[in-house]
Amino acid sequence: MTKLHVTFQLGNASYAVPAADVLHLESYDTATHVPGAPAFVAGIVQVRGRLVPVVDLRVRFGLPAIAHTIDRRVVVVQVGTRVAGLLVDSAREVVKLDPAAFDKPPELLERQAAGFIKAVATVAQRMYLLVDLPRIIGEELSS
Amino acid sequence: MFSFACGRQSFAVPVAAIEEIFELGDDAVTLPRVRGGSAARLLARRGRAVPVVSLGVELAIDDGARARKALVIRRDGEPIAFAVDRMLGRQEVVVRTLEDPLVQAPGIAGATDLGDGRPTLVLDLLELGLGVREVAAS
Repeated sequence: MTKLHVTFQLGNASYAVPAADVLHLESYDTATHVPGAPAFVAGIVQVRGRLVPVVDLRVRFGLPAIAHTIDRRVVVVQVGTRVAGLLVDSAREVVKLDPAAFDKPPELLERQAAGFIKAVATVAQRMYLLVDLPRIIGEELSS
Repeated sequence: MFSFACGRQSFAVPVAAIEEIFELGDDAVTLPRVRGGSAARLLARRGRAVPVVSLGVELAIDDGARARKALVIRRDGEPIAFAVDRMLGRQEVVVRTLEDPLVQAPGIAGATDLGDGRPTLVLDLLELGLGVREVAAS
């Protein structure tokens, strides 16, 4: 049985999150910087009346910053009771992925990506990296 | 709330927390900074020496060189002035707390909307410039 996933791009890689965890996609202009917050937090934005912290995935993943483009999106996700936004280069597609198509990431990737990548799916020659949402939004901060 | 600018961002503080707002001249003296802590200067105000904390430096926004106004609060009976770039206004707003742990930081009390659709941070100045007291006490 396939499940819907929202996919987004960061650099030249495609990533996937289960659509069930995604509340909505927002365009991104700027965020209100929060002094004292972790460096990977771009700030807070107001979306649909809600204050949402935005994680800059480029900073989180150790990728170089890019100039602002109109393609940038905030993928607003819900993890348990927490709601957070992931700032990505672009997000357009929703794809159906079979959970059976996901493999455990190669050990090298797992180590290099510090556990942010849970699994890899290869569908029709395209690779999708399934991200670990609780880890990305700092599950260690929840306690 | 009083709103003010510091660096490229605006901030707000509850009116009740502010004892006085005054124009910042260049007559503040720089203090020796032996033990680290907040970078503070000292200013003679109403017959007493008042520490001036640069909010821009305290929040790691800028070097505080453009600060022209000072907001005075009282902590444990002692006045402390926070230097900011300029005042923006005074308005009635609703403050919402920032619940997510990603954006919980000292001195950040919540956020509000000043009408531009963008969140403006509400500061708790009592939680900032804490290094000043340690320096004064040592």
